[in-house]
Amino acid sequence: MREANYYSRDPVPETPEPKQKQDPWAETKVVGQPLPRVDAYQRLSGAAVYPSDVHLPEMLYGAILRCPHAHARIKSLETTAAEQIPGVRAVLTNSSPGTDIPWQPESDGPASVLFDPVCRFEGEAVAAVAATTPYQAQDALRAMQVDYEVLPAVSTPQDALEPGAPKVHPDGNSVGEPSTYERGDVSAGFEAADVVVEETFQVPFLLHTPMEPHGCVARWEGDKLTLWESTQGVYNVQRQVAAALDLPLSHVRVIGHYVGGGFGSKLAIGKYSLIAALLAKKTARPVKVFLSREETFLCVGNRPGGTMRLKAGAKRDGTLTALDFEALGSGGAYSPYGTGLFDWQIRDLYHCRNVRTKGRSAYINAGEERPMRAPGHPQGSWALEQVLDALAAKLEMDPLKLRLENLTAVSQARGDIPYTSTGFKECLEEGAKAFGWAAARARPAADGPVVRGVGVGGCTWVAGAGGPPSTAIVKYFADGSVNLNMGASDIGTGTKTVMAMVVAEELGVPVERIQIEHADTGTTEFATASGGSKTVPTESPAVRAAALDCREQLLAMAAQDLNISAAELELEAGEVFSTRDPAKRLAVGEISQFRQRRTVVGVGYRGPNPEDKAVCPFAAQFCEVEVNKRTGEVRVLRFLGAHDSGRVMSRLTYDNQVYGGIVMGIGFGLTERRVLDEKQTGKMVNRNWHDYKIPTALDVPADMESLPIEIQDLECNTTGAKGLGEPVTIPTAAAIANAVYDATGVRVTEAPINPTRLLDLLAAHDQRRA
Amino acid sequence: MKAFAPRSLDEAMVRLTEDPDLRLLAGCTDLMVGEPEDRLGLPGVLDLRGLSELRRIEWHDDALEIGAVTPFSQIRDSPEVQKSFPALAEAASKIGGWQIQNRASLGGNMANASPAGDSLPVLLVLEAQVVLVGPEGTRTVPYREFHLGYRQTALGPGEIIGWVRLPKPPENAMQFFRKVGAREAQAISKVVVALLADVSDGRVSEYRLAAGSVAEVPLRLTEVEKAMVGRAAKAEIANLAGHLAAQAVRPIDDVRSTAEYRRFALEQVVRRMTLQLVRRVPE
Repeated sequence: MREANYYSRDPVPETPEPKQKQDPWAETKVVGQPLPRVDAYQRLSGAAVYPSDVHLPEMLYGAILRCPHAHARIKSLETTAAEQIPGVRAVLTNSSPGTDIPWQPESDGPASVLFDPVCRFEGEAVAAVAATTPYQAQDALRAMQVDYEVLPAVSTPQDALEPGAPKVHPDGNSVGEPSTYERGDVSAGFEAADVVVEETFQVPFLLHTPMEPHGCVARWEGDKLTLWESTQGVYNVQRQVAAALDLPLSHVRVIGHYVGGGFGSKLAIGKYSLIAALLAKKTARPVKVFLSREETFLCVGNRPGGTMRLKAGAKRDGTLTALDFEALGSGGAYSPYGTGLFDWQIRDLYHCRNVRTKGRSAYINAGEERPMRAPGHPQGSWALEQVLDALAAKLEMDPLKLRLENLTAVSQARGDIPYTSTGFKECLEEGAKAFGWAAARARPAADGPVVRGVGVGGCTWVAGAGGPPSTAIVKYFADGSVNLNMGASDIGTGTKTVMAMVVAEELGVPVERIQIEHADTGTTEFATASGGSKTVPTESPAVRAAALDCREQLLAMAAQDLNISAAELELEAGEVFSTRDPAKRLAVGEISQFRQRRTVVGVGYRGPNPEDKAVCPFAAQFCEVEVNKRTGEVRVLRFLGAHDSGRVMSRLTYDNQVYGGIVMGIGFGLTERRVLDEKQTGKMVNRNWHDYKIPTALDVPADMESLPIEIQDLECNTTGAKGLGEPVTIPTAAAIANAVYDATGVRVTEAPINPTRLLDLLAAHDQRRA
Repeated sequence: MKAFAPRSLDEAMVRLTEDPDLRLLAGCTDLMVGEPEDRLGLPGVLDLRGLSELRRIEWHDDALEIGAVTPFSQIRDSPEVQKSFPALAEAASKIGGWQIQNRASLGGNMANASPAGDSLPVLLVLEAQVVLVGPEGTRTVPYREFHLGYRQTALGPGEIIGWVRLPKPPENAMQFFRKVGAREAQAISKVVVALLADVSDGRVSEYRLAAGSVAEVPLRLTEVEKAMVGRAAKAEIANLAGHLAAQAVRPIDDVRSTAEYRRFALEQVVRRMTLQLVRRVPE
C-alpha cells in the first residue's frame, strides 16, 4: 500500500543543510500566539484574487466536453456546427495537432492520452472549445455531435473482479498482485488470544468538494507560458505542464497565491491545465478554464471506498496478540491505489507483534482517486477503532483502557525505530479528562427513545514529518520591515501566517511589517506541494534558518560598529544591543554597513530529518451523540480533539484545523457518499452539493473543543512542529460509530451511518435481546 | 428571451395577458438550480418579486393574508405568524437554509407543487385558501383543491397566485411541524409532517394531519383524522395514529430515502406528535 511520500511521486532533491546553528526554542514570544491570519482581511472582504478571479484583457473562456457515459468508445465526433457558433475561437479534439499528449506518465496506472477515444469514466474529456463568453463556449459544447458506442460499465471493485465483468482496460480490471505486509506470526497470535473479534466494514467513495472548483487561466508570451492555477503546489504544476508540453521548466511560470481548498485533489494538474494552455496557444489569447461544480464531482479525484475485514485477538488483560486485515477497493479507472494506506493504522498505531495486511484493488468505470485528507487512514480507522471497541466490549473493559494497554514508543511498521516523540498516551488520557469520559461512561442508560452515548478513536498519521527540500529567503529592509520569499502554497491552513510568525520570532519584527511572496515558480523558491500535513514542519525550519541567517549578518555588521563580539549581541524591536552591557546598543538603521547595503538577504534551507527515527503526529478524539431510536437519526452533541502535533505554531489556525477536520469526519460518518447507478448506467446520481450531503453548520456541534497536547520534540526539526491537517479527520467517523454503539448496543459497520440501516439494526438488536 | 419586472399587480396582469406563456418568477430557488435545458427553452419570464401587493403579511377579517412572493425569512420572523401559526413559522425556518429562506416564497413553494414542499402540509392542516388573480378578477380555492398532482396545480392560464388566507385556528389548538431530512439544513425532506389538533373534555376534538414526501402530492390523512376525533386523549391512541398514518400513504424509493423508511419515520413522528398532544406538551 502506498508509502509515506504520497504527495510527490518523483524523487525530490535535497537542499543543503542549514548552516545556522539552531537551538530549539525554549520560550517563544510570537510563535504559539493566537494571531489572526495575515491575509484575513483580503479573504473576508473578497479582495483576495483567487485563480478563479483572474481576469485578463482579451481573455477567452474554455470549456470541456465530457463523456456522459460511464464507459464508451467514440465512433465519431463532428465539430463543424460548434465551430460556427458566434464567438467560438478554437476547438480541440484528439485529431487537433498537438493534442497527442500522454496523460499522467508519472502515474503507475494504465497509459492514456489527453483526449482518449475510449472513455473509461463519466466525465472523461472528449473535446474542448474556447469562446469569447462562457455561454458561447457552453453553446459550442452542445453543438458538438458525438456518436458514442456505449460499452458495459462496472461500478464496484467487487463486481470488477467477478469473472466475465466488463473490462475497464484491455488487460482486465485487476491492478496486479495484492499488496501485502506481514510481521510476526499471525496464526500463533490468534492461538494465544483469549478473545477474538472479526468484522467486515464498508466505506463509501467520498468527494473532496473544495469551495473553489479546479481550473486555471493560461497566457502565452512568445514561447513562455504563465498559468494562474488553483493548486496546492505550483512546482508540481510547473513540472507536469513542462513535461507534457515539452517546455523548459524556466518557461512555465505557475502562480497560485490563493487556493479555495483542495484537500489533496489539487496536488496534481488536471487535463484542464493542458487544455487551457493549448487553447491559449491556438487562439493567441489568454484562456480561462474553470470546471463546473458537477465536473469536479466526476473527474478530479475522490477518496476510495471499499470493503475491509479486520480480525483482532487479545489477551484477557487487553494485550493485542494479532491483527489480520484485508481490504478491497478501487482507485477508479486509472489509479492502482484503491486501498493505498488503508492498513497504516493497523500496522503502526497500537502495539502488536503479529500483523498481516492485504490490499486488493480493481479498476472500475469511475473517476480516478486522488489523495484526500489522510489517504487511506480514515477508512482503516473506521475498521480498527471499531474492532478495538468490540474487543473492549467482549473483555468488559473500558475502550479507553484497552487503547492505553496497547501503546508503543516505536514505529513497528518501520522496523521498530523509535518516534522522536509520541503524545498518544497523553492525547487519550488528557483528552478523556477534559471530555469527562469517565462520568459520561458511568451515566445510567436512558430508557426513552432518545439515547446518548460516547465514543473515542485514536490515530497516527504516516506523514506529517515534512522534510527537505525547501529554500526560503528573508530580505530585511532598511526600515526594519521584512520580505519573506517561499514557494509553498497556503491552501487555507494559515501557512503564510505561521511563517510570518517564525520570522517575527527571530527578527523581532511585528507580523504586520512582514510581506510574503509565495507560490510563484517565477519568483519564489522551490517547495514541494502543500499536502500531507507537512507544510509547517517542512517550511518553518527553512524560514527560521533564513531569518537566522539574516540576523547573524546584521549582528556581525553591528559588532563592527560597536567593536564587540557578535556573539554577545541581540536583535530586538529594530535595535541591536549587548547582552552583557545593554547600554551598548545601536538602532538597526544606524549600522554603517547596513546603511550602505540597504537590505540584508538571508537564505535558509530545510535540514534532513533525524536518521533512524520516525516523526509522526498522534491524536485521540472523543464525541457524544444522541440517537433517536424511533427515526434512526444521529445527532453529534459534542466533540473533543486532543492532538499531539508537536509545537502549536499558531493557536487560531491550529484550532481551526481541528474543527475543520472534525466537520469533515462527521460528513464521512453520517452523510457523505458517492452514489453510482451501479445496476444500470454506472453514472453518478449525486454529482452536486444538493444531493451529496456535506454537513451544514446545523449538523455539527457548537460544542467542539481543541485540546493541544504540546509535547516538546527537540529532534523532529528545528521548530518542533509536526503535521496537523490530516490527523484531525482520521478517527472522527469511527469515534461517532463507537458512540452510536455505546448509545444503542448496535455496531454500524457501514459508513455513513444511515438512519434506515440503523433502524434495521436496532430492530434486529431488540429481537435478539427479546 | 424576454424578461419583465412589473412594479404593480395591474402591470403584471397586462404583461401576462399579452403573453400567457411567460414563466412566473418569485425566488427562483427551484428554477435556477434546475437543469439548464429547462431554462434555455423559456419563452420569457415575469418577475413578481417587485409587487408589493404580493409581499405582505396582514390580518383581513378573521384570516391572516400572506402574499405569494413574501419570502420565508419574513414569514419565519413575523410575530403574527409565530403567534397564531407556529407550525408555519417552524416550517419557514426549516426550509433550505437562510439564503434560501431569504429568496424562496410561499407562492413559489405552492406553484412548484413538489410532493416534498415543506410548507405544503402546513397549508393543508391550516386549511388555507388560495387567492388567484386572473384577467377576470380574483377567485379563491381551498389549498387542498389547488395542488392537483405531481407538479400540477389549479392555476389557470393568465393567472397568478396572489396570496393565501389562513383562517384563525381554533383557540388553544396545538400545532406541530417536523421535517426529517438527510441533514439539519438544505436537505429535501424524506418525510415532512404537520398536525393541528386539540383536546377538550378529555377527548380529541380537532385533529388535522398532513404529510409530504409520502405520495405524489402532500396528503391530508383523513383516515387518521376520522379515527382520532372523539377518542379519549390517552397515550394509547398515539400508536394507533402512527399506525394508521403509515397505512394511509404511498411513498416511493428514491435517492433520498426508501419507501419503507419514509413510512416508518412518518409513523414514529405522528406517534410522537400525538403523544405530545395528549400530554399537552408543546414541542
